Amino acid sequence: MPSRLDQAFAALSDPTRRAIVSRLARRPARVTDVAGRFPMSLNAVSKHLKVLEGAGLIKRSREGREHHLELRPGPLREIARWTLRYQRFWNEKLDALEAFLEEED
Amino acid sequence: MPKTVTATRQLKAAPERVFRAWTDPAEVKRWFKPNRLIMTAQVDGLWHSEVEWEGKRWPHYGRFTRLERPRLFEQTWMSEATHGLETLVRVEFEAKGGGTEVRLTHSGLPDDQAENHRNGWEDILSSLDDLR
Repeated sequence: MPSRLDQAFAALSDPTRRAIVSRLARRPARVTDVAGRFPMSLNAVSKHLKVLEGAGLIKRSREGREHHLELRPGPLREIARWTLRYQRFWNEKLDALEAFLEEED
Repeated sequence: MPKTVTATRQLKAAPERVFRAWTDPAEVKRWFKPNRLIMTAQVDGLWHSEVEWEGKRWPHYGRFTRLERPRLFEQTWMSEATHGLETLVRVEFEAKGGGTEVRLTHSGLPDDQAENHRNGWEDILSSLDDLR
């Protein structure tokens, strides 16, 4: 799997970061608006934003003193591809097969 | 360009045992957990299975094209996800490390988007909840 996808999966493995992406999927927002939605410090939210930026999932731009965030859907599009879903499907089935055969031991 | 997906797994059981788990319908029901399974495991034998995945029912249809007990089998695989294209699933069983290495190759998959996301990315994000 390409490392960009690994990064995207890792970034999205956290519920707060998924909630941020969900929020930005509706429309771009200011950092302060996004941060206001979570019961955590601005600093903690900033760390999550850095991870999402690093994974190429969001883009930050500055307008005066305000930071704006928008979603970059590229990595999510790849996750949505059938090939990746089949990859997950088969790995889940192999997990189930392994568990089934080990129960018998 | 059609795409290929591969998955491998090292199992403790012997190839003969793993081959049976894939090709005996009574066994397949116990781990693949289809809602419905009809299967004639012989060359040119047909199969149908309906699985529940990501909260949706997926009917699949296909035909066995190769069965070489206990080394490998191949079957065609058609579903909504293949857009009616006849994709091919090949599963190989190699005796290794006192058990079996299973190598699965699913080829001929269409290279496209799973859905057109008219409601944004909510569906994908909710399916990613399974990754936790």
